[in-house]
Amino acid sequence: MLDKEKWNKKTQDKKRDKKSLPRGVATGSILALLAAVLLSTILIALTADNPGDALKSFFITPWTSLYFLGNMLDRSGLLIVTGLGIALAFKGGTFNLGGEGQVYAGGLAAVFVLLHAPESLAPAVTILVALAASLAAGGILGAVSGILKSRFGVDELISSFLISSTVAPVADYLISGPLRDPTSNLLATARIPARLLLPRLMEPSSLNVSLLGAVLVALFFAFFMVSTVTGYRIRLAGSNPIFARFAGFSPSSYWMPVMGVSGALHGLAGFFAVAGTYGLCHRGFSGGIGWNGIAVALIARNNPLALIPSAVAFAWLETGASAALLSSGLSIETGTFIQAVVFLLVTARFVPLGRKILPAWLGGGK
Amino acid sequence: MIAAILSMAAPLILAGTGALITELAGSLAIFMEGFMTLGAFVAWTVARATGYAWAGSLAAALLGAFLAWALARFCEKTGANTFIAALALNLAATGITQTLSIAWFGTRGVLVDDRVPASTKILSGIDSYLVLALVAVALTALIVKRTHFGLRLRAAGKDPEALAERGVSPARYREGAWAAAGALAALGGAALTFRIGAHIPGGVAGRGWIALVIVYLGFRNAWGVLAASILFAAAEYLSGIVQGTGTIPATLLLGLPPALSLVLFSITSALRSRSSRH
Repeated sequence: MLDKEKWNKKTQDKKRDKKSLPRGVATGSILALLAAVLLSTILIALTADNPGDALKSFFITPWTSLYFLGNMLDRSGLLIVTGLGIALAFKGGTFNLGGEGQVYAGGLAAVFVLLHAPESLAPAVTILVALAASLAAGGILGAVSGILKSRFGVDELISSFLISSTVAPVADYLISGPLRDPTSNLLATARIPARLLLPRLMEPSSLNVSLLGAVLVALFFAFFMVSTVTGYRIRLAGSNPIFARFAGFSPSSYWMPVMGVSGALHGLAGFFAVAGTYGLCHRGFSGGIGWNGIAVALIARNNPLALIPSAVAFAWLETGASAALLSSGLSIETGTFIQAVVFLLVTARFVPLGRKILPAWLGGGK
Repeated sequence: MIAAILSMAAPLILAGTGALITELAGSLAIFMEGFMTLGAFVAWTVARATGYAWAGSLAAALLGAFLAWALARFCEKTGANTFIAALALNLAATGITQTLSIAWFGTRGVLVDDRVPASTKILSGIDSYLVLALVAVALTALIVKRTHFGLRLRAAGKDPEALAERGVSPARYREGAWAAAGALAALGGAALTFRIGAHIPGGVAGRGWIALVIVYLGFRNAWGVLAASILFAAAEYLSGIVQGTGTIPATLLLGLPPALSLVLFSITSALRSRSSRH
């Protein structure tokens, strides 16, 4: 296929020497984040009408205004969940590039249930049904890629992306056509009744209980991956498929469940976004949540616990930079630049370079 | 109709051939979408400044080759993951074209200008990008199959260790393949621009990803890439007709190319894995 086995082997070799150099591993993540902060600063300083104010609203406001802090933490929750989905797929030796479509499908499934459930049903039950529908919608999309890979050898990197690109226009159509609220000017569905929304934690920001849910899910997976046999096998299937075969199980048998759960986690992010953050489903609401999940997972080196700070840092970069640039009137897609810089640098290894440059007392020159 | 389909195929053939070269060299470049986007924009900008489509295409190709080479070199030097670095380029390309479009032309929308040629026809009405695409296919087929250089390129993909043992650096071949792919993708983007003489943001519309599928659909063979590209162009042509009748909403039709890619990609992958099992 993509000669990925060979590539996997290569990265494994690299991982092995990475293990002996834990500092080098973190260097890539920290460098990528620093570069992203630097790039955002430059973008803001160059394009804002009043750079001083804009930089202040980038660096300081998100931490002092409860409104911005709440929105940022809410965004972090979504990124923790999608990042977890990406990390899990990575760990199991697969690559989920269809996050955007899975988030979209999950959100759409949630809004459909929340708008159409009979009113006689208890709110908690309706919300649970919506949650299940989101998990199923995202999970099925992911699992299809997994089945195609294990049954027919179809590369999941490309198939998941293609599925996502197929689903997005269909969802666009449903939102701007059959499911659209005709009384509103927005390209969006009707508002979800207030009693069916996830409780807000910090009005007027969009922070809601989904952040707690996201953290709990991350904690669960941190435990699951390290302390259960299945988690161990998934990691083995991903990191050393040949050894997995010697250990008596087929690594390919984990592709479908891993991709399925990865998709379900993206569906969960869609549910959180619709039932918690937005209260409705507007066209293209999933924009960026999926791609950013990849960046967050890469920064966290696929470690479920490291995802939490990684997601907060990324949410700050994303919401801070766009808020700071809002005043300039130039609506530049800062998000794509930040993603690109992170993607470019995060898997690079700068240890040899750092050693040459840094003085001995900083760990260089050895 | 056949002429229209063949012109629609030209960008796909160019990008598909580029992707094929990287696949043969052992690291499929998933940055085709990004370089098509950049190429479409650069070609428009340079053609507007000079008045010549060929100047725009040349500039796009050179920039594509250089950036792709630099990216490959960066991955080689730092050990960065090639998939993720290429993904970075895809994401950045949209942002870069959008920002430059605002900075230079004051809009993020469609760019039109009288100085940009709006036809890709040359003497006797032949599509120049189709000619270019066919030359790319024939050259690739010839070089890969019949030359020493092509043998080493394939060796860089199949057995890099053996190549290295013979004193040839597989990395050089991979870098060259990426540079060629960057140039061909940018040319494909330029072909899209000059077909209508305007730059449409998002006008690449997933063709860079379809180019990757085309590589497998064409069974990793240059002539196969040509056939697969024509198949996709025919589908594009048909969906254009369907859209004209208005029976299916245009938004839904946007999902058709990826859906078709998925089905065909799955079938070829299944056939391949079956034949390799026997």
